[in-house]
This record gives sequence, structure tokens and C-alpha cells, in this order.
Amino acid sequence: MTVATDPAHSHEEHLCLASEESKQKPLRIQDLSVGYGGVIALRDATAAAEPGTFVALLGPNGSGKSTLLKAIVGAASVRSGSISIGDATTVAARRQLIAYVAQHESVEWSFPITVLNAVELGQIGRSPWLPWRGPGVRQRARRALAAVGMEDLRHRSVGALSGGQQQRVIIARALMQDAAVFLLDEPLSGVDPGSAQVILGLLRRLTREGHTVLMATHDVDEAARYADRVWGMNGSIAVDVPAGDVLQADVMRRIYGEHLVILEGGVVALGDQQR
Amino acid sequence: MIEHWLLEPFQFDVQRRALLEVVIAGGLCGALGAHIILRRLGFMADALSHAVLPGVVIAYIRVGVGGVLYGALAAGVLAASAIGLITRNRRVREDTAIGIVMTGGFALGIVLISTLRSYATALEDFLFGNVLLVSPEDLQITLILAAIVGTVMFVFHRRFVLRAFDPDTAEALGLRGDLLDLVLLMTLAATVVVALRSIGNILVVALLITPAATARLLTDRVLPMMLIGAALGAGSGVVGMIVAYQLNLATGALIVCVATAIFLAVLVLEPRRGLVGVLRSRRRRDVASPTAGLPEAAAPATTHSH
Repeated sequence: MTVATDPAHSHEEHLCLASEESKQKPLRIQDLSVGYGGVIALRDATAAAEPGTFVALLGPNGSGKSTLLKAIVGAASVRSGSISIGDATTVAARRQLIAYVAQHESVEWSFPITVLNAVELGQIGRSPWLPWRGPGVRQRARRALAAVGMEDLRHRSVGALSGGQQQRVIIARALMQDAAVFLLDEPLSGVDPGSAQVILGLLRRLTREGHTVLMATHDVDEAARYADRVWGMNGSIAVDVPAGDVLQADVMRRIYGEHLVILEGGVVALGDQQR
Repeated sequence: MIEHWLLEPFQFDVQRRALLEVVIAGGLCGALGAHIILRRLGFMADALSHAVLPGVVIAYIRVGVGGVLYGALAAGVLAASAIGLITRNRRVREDTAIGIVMTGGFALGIVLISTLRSYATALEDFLFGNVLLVSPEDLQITLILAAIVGTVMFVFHRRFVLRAFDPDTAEALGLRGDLLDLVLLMTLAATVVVALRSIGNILVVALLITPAATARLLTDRVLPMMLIGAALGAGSGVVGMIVAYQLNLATGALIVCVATAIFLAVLVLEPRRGLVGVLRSRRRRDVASPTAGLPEAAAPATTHSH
């Protein structure tokens, strides 16, 4: 475990240990269809993200945001099409390059584990057969926790944290994975504004360092403000636009269809079933 | 005097073997029980312990007492696989599959016992255990199984933890959730076999669940939970054996009663989250901060979505 030394960036300590070349990997999705059982959840999706891009996945419930993320990481079955990160095309090869943050409610938060131990589990993909924590893992976990402002709470049980703090913990765990690509499934849902700022700032910093970030979200405003590009999802990747264009009515209509409500004065609101 | 009362149950070889058997079974169950509880496999554990019965009986009829443990292990592996395979059919939910395999296996076991001439005694030994029947050979098998189970728990510890804590991320990291569950269930089957002798088929699940549940009340860490669970399981076994011998009561059932009594005592008396502690701090909280002592309240209510 050595820290990547890059003299040009030595003034700012890097968040991840991935070497420069390992990060320069474009993500390409080509004619992708994904299904569960007899149901096709995502059809003929095509898009690409260059290294260092922050992509927000926007769309109504059931539009395929989670499905796309799960397909990329190999947790949903691909029916046709291809996904590649650099020259990694197989699931096993892709997994080495991906850090995945699952939806908050899929985590068993009552589990008896400390913040620090939970973050250290991020290293398990590197050495699944090692029964104990590998060398240097504790230090890296503490650095990852410091990056999300949670180092002081490292001995707490995860169940004793607020929703926002819990989310910061699993994002710290994702930082442990030396990933080129970060996939986050609604990381800001149920998160307090302070934690949301920390998480968004961190994601921006990761993209500055050359990582690619894909974040599923319901929040159009958030996507417009923080992302570089928006992939509008509607059973497929319906639009791929610069984040600044997302608030245009025709773009919104292509993503949300009949869910869209345009209020007076050009303010866009959503007939959102979520909350 | 009291020394005599405590040590008298262990003056013969057969009793000392029984003691060792009970300590190993209790310790193993208590430690593995932590993973069972955290993975929410309590019902599955119950099912497996009953489903091994036909294997036990067939081995008993074919090979004799020496083969019982092998028969149980084979049946346990078979039952765990059967539940896993049945659940692959999307129209059969897991609890349904568990219920079918549990009762089907148990019934088959009792039908097989009814073919024996000594039906009544045999039934009692199988269902309620008879720790004084432990032969040196049985004990040897118990030790081997304990070593295997211990090794599996050590090697798979971190993966079991991640699987139970954050299953989606475990999958994303390349851990096969279904295979990990199968490994845990095979380990469970082996542990049930170990505990069958001392506790019997019906109550064996109590030794898996109750000491580990007590340990969960006492700690917020997995490893201490396993260690406390093991200590409580073994301790319940020893205390149960002594009391059962001196008062001439059913050993297996008494061990479970002891474990249950400890659980209830901890539930009520545990200083931070026990009933007594909570009531006392609630009275105190009326004048102090409204959230102190209630970490559970931090979990946010979020809606499910895709």
C-alpha cells in the first residue's frame, strides 16, 4: 500500500490511492438492456462518461437509475449490450475499478459495528481471503473518515449516528477501494444539509482528481448545481446533457414525461411520487 | 459441602465426557449464534435442527450410535441445500421453503423412529438428548467438528459481517451472497450435530439463539458478541448439568431454562438499555436532554425506492 506521489498535486493530499493511469478510464455503456426475471428494467441504454466527469442520473421512480448502477457493478443481470471501464469489460475486471454505495435503507444499521470497522470492510474486495485486516488498512480507514469529517466519531456504533453521518461512513468505506469509478445510489436521500454539503464537496473533489462519479438522485436542483452532466433516465438513458441545460423544459419533459408540472414563472416542479 | 454438590456430577468418566461435550456444544452454538442472529437466520436455524432428524435416525439404524453424527451432517447439508434450491423458485418464499423442509424432515425422522422396537426410549433420546450417552468416539467427532466450525468462522468472519451489514455492497464487491449463506448454514448444520447429544433435536436451536441474543444485549461489537455468546452457552450447559443432576431433572431442557433465565435477567437488569435502566433514565430525562440514552432514535425513516 503506497501513496501515489504526484509532485504536481503535492499541495493537496489525494483522497484515493489509485494511481493516475488507473483513473484515466472512460466508462462506456453500449445498447445495454437489463432485466429482473421476466421484467426488462432498462432497455437499449447508450452513454459514455469521460474520466473526471460528475454524472447525475435523474429520473422518476422505476426509471432504471438503480438498475443501471447495479448492472455496471455486476449485481443485475445484463440481457444484451456491453459495459466497459477502460479496457475492463468483464464483471470481475470492472469490479476492481468500481466503488459502489448502496441505497441507505439496504444497509442493516442496527448491526453491531463501529464506524472504523465498517469503513475497514471496504478493503475486503482487495483481499477477500484474508481473515483479518490487512497492513495499513486502519490508517487508510482513518484518512477516509477524515475526508468525510467523521474521524472523531470512529469508535461510535453505526446505529448511534444520524442518517447523514451514516451516509458519510459508507462513502468513506467506498474511498477505501482505490476505485476509478464511484457509483452512488441516492447518497443524499434523508441526509441533513450539512452532511449533504460534505458529500457533494467530496464527490466534486474526486472528479477533480480524475475519478468518474455516477450519482442517482431525485433532486433536479442538486443535479444542476453540482454535476457536470445529467443522464435523464426513463426506462433507458433518454438524454445526456450538460448539467446546466437540465432545467430546460424540453429536457425535463423527455425525462419525466407526464410526471412533469411546469409552474408559473418557468419554475419546474415534479409530480413526484417519492416524497 | 457446596464443593461436593458442584463436583459430584462429574466424578465418573462418562460424566466428564458429558461435561466436555456440553461445554463445546454450548460454546460453539453461542459463537455461531451471533452470526445466525445478525444474518437473521434464527428461523432457518430452527428448521435445520429439525430437518437433520431423518439423517440421525437412518444412521442410527444402519450404522449404530457411532454413525449418528455423520448421518446428521449429511441430512443437514441436504436440508440447507434443499431450502436454498426451493427458494430459487420465485413463487416459493423463503419462510415457506423453511417451513416445508423443517416439518417434512422432522416428520420423516419420527416415522423412521417408529420403525424401531425401542420406540419410546429412542424417541426420547433423539428429541431431548442424553448427554450421558456420549462415547469417547462421539467426543472425538465433536472435537473435529468444533475445529472445522471454528476455522470456517475465522476464515469467513469479515465476509459474514459485510454480508449481514450491507448485502448490496457485499455483492458489488464480488462476494456471492447465496454461497456465503450456504457456508453459514453448513456450519450451522455441523454445529447442530455437535449440540444434538446434549440438548436434543427439539431444543437445540435455543442454544444457538438465546446465548447470542443475551450477548447482543451486552455489546455493540461482533467479536465480543461471539465471545460472550460462547461463554454464556458453555456456562448455561455446565450450570444446567449440575442442577439437573442434583435435582434429578431433564438435563437438556434445564440447560435451555438456564440460558433463558440469563437472557431475561440481562434484558431487565442491563444498566444502559435494560428495562430497569431505561425506566430510571426516562425519569431522569424528564429534566435533562430529550435524546440521551436513546441511540435507536437516530435511525431515520426513509421510503423504499429503486
